[in-house]
Amino acid sequence: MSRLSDVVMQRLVLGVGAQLRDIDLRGVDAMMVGIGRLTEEVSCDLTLAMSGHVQRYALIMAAGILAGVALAVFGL
Amino acid sequence: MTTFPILTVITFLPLLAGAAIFLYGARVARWLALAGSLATLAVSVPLYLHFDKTSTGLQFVESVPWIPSWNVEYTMGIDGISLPFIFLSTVVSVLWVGASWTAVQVRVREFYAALLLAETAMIGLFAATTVFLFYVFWELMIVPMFLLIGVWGGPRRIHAAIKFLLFTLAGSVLMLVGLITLLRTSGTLDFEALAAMRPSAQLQSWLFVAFTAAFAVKVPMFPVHTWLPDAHTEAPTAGSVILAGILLKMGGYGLLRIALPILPDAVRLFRTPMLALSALAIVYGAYVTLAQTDVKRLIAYSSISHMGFVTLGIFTLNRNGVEGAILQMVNHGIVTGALFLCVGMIYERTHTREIVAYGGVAKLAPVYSTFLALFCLAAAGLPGLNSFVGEFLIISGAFDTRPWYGVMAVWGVALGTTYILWLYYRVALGEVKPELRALRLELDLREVATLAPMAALALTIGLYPESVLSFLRVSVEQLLVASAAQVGVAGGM
Repeated sequence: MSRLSDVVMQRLVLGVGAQLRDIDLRGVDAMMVGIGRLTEEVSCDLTLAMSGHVQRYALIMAAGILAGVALAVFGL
Repeated sequence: MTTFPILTVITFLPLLAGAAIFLYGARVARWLALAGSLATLAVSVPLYLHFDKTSTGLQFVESVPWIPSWNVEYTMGIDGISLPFIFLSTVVSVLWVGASWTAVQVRVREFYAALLLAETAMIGLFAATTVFLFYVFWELMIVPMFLLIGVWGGPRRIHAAIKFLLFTLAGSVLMLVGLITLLRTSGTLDFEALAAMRPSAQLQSWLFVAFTAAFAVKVPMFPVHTWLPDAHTEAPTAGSVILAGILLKMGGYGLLRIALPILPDAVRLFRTPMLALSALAIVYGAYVTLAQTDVKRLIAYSSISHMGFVTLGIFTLNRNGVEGAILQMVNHGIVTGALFLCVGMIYERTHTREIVAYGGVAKLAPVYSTFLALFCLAAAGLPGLNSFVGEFLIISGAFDTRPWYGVMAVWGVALGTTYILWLYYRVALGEVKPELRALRLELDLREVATLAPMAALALTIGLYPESVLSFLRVSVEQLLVASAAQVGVAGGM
């Protein structure tokens, strides 16, 4: 009886608990942390776009205005 | 409409005490914080004495125009659902001031100011009757919690604080989008007015996703729960008590205050996945709790399981389930808050949270072990103690609605009993660890005075649940009728 309860407690209950703990840490939490890291990397890449070249900024703004006008006129 | 703005006074009195701490300096910071929290508790007493349990409307209402161009008013009021949470906030605030008395020795002034700011945010959130004011206090709560974890926390406090901030802010941004959409489509942010309007079913679905994302992070529901174990583990004792005692309840309260009455069609649409996630959180959280080796982490994971009961009860959409969910939130605040206090008290002496470092504490500290046993038994749902009533109502509500979720909840109770009693066995019973013999583990008078009110509350609610349920009854019925969402058998206790 004692051996049976040991098997149930150790193998089934605690075993499943340990497995789920690892899944929580290396699966669920890692996924959340990964999303954070990805966002951080994308943000870093975006900061590279801030070159300080005024002409480039003006070009991007002009392209944006043109896209906006095209959207309004042609309803794309 | 009352002449004395009691809710505003209760909300902002802690903030005034916090400002006074900055004026008078660190020397009297603890005493000022204690005086501020005690005064807030004292001023809140008339709320319970003069609360009309038979009234269906908001009581102690205060309303002044705030931002007329947005049709936003500063409006406060309470019903039977918000009152227990205000009570819990004012009581727990006194206790966490007491619990931090010797534990915090650096930046004492700032620490107590942050605690009092948190108290203002909590009470304000539970007293708010517009989505705008609710959102303001929701956001305000993030600031002191971030500071408490990030400044006074453990070795990995920065990681935990940033994780807490990013998770909660991600949810808050979606809530802001929902708030703006509600304002644009309905022209008001008043809870009662919004409940009467009822947006289109499609809009409700989008709004439900936006608001529930924020609430799910705070509860926390699976799979957005992973900030909680880190935050609990690294936070100082007072921070853990705030998290367990009040902050997690803000998510459940948001579901009751915004999702159920304002978005009832969406609630019915998303009911099955929400029930499934709740049942999953109960069982998954309980299994992961079993495998923990750190006491604080163990209690943190147990909170995920216990809060799963709360969301399960809410989405049963029947009286037993919703009443049980509210009662369970109060119970969890008391019991888990007390367990974190117990952990903090012994950690101050041993400086370890590893369960294997403990053993035989009952022989060295019988008073401490008695309190720990009481709170462990309460957490396990022992009849006669508070959690039993909440869990009983939720499980009966679940069986009335979807029996399989009731079965999973019972499974969660069995696992919960296992992990909490096993924790007690490993910490308090067995052979005394040699390293502990040299330490003075027994509680002093201040610590006994801190734990005693929690024990009294656990016993009072356990033996006489009507002390809380009688306040809830009419408001819960009103909530279910108004949202036209009542499903299953509405039975009483």
